[in-house]
Amino acid sequence: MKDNKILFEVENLNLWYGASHALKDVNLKIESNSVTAFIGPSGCGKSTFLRVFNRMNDLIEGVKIEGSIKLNGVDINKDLNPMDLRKQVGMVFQKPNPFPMSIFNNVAYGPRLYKKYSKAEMIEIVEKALTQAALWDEVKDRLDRNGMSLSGGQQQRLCLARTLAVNPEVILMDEPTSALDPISTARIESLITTLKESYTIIIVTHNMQQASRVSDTTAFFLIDENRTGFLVEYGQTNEIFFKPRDKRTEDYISGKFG
Amino acid sequence: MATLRKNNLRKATESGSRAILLLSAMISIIAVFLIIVFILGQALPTLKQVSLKEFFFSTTWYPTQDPPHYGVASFIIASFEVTLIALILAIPVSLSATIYLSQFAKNKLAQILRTSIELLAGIPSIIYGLFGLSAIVPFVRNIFGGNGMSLLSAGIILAIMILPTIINLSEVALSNVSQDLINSSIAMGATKWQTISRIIIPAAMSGIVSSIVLGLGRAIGETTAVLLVGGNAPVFAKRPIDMGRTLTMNIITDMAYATDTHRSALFMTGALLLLVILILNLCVVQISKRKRLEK
Amino acid sequence: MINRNTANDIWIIVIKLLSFLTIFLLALILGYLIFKGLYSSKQTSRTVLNTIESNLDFEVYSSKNSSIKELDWFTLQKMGMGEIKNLRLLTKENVSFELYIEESQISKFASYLNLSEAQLRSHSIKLVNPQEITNYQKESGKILITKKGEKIPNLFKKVKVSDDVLVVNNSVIQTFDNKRITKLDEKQIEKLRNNEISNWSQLNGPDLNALYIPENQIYEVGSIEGSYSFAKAISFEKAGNLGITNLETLKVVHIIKGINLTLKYIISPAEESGKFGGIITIIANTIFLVILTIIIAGPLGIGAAIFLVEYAKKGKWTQFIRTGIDLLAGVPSIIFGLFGLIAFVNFLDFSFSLISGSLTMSLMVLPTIIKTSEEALKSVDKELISGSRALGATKIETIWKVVLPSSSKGILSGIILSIGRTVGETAALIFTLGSSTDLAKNIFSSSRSLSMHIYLIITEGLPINDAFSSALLLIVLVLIINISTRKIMEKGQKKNERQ
Repeated sequence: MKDNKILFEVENLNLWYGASHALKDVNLKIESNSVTAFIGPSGCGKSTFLRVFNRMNDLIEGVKIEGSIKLNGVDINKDLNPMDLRKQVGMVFQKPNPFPMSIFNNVAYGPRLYKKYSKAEMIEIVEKALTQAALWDEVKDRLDRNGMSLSGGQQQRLCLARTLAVNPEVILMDEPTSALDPISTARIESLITTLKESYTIIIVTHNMQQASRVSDTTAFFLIDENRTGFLVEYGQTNEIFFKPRDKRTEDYISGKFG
Repeated sequence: MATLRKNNLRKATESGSRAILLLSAMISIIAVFLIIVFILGQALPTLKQVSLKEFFFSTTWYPTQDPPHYGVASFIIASFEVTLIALILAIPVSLSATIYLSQFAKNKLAQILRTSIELLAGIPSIIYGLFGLSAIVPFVRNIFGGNGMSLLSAGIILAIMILPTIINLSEVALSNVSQDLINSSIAMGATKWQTISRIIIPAAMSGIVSSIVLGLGRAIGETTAVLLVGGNAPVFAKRPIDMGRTLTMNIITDMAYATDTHRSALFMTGALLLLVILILNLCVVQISKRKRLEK
Repeated sequence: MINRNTANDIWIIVIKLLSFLTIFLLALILGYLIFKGLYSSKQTSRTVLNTIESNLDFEVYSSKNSSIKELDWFTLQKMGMGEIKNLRLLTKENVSFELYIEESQISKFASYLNLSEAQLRSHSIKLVNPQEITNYQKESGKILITKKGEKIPNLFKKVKVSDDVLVVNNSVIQTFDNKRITKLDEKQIEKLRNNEISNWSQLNGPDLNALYIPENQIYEVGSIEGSYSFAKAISFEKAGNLGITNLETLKVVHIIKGINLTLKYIISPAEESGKFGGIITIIANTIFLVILTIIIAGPLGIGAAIFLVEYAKKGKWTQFIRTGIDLLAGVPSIIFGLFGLIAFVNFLDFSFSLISGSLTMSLMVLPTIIKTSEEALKSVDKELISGSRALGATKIETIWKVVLPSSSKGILSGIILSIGRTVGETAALIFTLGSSTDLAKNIFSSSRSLSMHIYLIITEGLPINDAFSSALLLIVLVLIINISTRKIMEKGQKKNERQ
């Protein structure tokens, strides 16, 4: 592993939806400026686990969490306001969902939540975010067009730009390309590789090739006989894919990969 | 042979029934048509005696004088004022209740709120009038002076009456805002209020506007409640705490004894009312059609 | 600069407060009307003051089940003079009146009332022994004058007699600046008694010095401007008889408290256009109105809904029909009233009657029935329908035997909503139903509904307590209707969920 600082530290995390135990005893550490992939069969809880990082599970009734997640040493459940957390930890969803407003306002939405910017400042921020999301050239002449008038791939990059505009430390991605065509997918994947220099990225994906292409570390989840998700193996992507330590990992990889 | 006859009977019943059902469905549109025709029919003779200009723009309503005057301008303004007051009071309360219901829905309190709104909607207008007369009028008198019976009292009572109308339709609009949009906003760290004010309400705006227009229509058309608290003075009300008469009050008050031109003038007032409300309702239909097309 | 978290908290509090205002308003309205409906407080003004204790040397009793608890001197005098034949004007009961006086008390009573013994003897029934009237306990219109301390049968209760008046010089009640005072409330009377008033302007009266005159010099009040005296009614009358002019009385505000809506009121028939009696005839008429309306609007509305769900094709025509329904739903009630007046009362010559009212109401509730029935019909399981058709049933047979029964709960709730609407409607019925308080004999009879009754009580100036008692009944009815609709719809939903 490179000598990077530990950004997230997850200890003995357990999560319940009401009476149903969804995640069991998860322990892992995420380094800054890395790309981590969560893989596993459907229903194993990887999306749920992803949402723990920005406390989006709080929106669901009856969710209970035990154990700790620390961001830079601070417990995000006990010692951090969820809204401040989400400023530092952004999210891109599976289905692109730009707001029903102009492209400019979509990107400006995030920063405006926190303070008032002058027009010039705002333009700068929007341009920077759209550039980072590799969308600037395509939309710079039509910033006032409605965000929903873009193609699927462009919309997803818009959502990414939206997230980047608030300058988070972390970007969570929940199957960001599963609703896109191969070309848009490829563009997003190359973006991920570029972005990791400035951000830390955690991506949930059911696409094994994607995971092996873009991530530095991979976490493999399974679901046990009680329908509870648990972490099977976590390590460098190369090792997980080519020299897995756990037989279950090997079975899963070879089954999907072959 | 018997089977054939039975089948023929069944087929005849089928087409006969279809005709009857079609007729039933047409009754509504026929009724609307008849209403417009009859009311206009009784209203138009007014124009023989009164010019349109005098009718709409004069504030002198004195049908029993010689020569009689039939100007409804003061009533138009009074209807407008009363509705305006009602909307100003009702919109913040309704929107708040709507937001509460859709955003804090799981609460026990939300259930109570919902029931309260339904009950408020079911209270007959005469009861609102009675309550207004015995409770609101003295209240207004004590706080603002004057008689108490006033356009202000009428506006207050109307505000309470149109709360359910606005809330019900707005709630539908708010709940139709996609959860994905809301999640995106929250994921960016927006506070609850920021999400509500910057995403949810703008997205539901056309539904909210429809509901307000519907509430407006209800307020303009209300008769018994305003009659009992508005004072019913057939003169131009200078201030909201003055007694006034709305278009609806004019019709119900004079109708009992009006004859000839006086009576047709009242029907003319009714026609005006009907026209305004039909236009408002058509607007609402248009707004919802446009919304459906957008989707 | 307010921090956004604080702004959020403030806005959320504002939203919660305004939302709860709604609940508060409901509680306020219901609570107020229930209170007023059950507990009446009638404010009238009368000539005699509210005396605490009167010093009579005889006792006055009234029948136990009559509502007379106190009498004033003037009424008692009228009773003695035989001018009161029926208790209707004093209470709401339509019973004839009888005055009984114990033989030994006749002269005392006569002089108390400033009447001659002969007058009393000719108009009242003389008693030797009060125990004699035990036979007549059913009728209620009796007043008894007996010896002080006499033992009276349990059928009678003591009555308080008030005989004080506030006599003033007529300069006090003259018109000044377009106003005049004719009555005072309890507090103002107190102030007068306590010598706190030096000028009548303090009591919203004219600018005159208030001069107190003791009762034995009551004649002086006639000559001194602004003077007043607290005297017995009999003194006032005697002064008048002696020819003292410029003597007047200031009335006092008198509050009568009691139970308003009683079971008796509900089940008694209305008499004399609602001035007396109860409201059972009005309730019955309302029920007739509802039944007739549902008979007319029910089939029409359900039929229209069936057409829209099962037969209508997507197109301009259907859109047209739907717009018609929406427009009909938006027409204000008074326009329906006007239309009903021209179309049913005049044109079809049904006059003011149940049928005119029902036809008008049918049009009003039609959109409600159509919309709720449509919802109910749409939610019927498609498989049930295909199953029936597969067995060879025609469309109409399927509708009749399968679809309608399954959607009956939803349709029923729409009907019940319409009942609520009918019961609560006023403006549309004023012009069509009529106003009679008698039981309707047939569908062409004029009648009034409960809502109309409340409206007419207020606009005709009848005691507002009657309005409140009818309103309470109406509210209870509407609440029951509302709750039943909810229960039916909930049961309907649970049924769907189970499937």
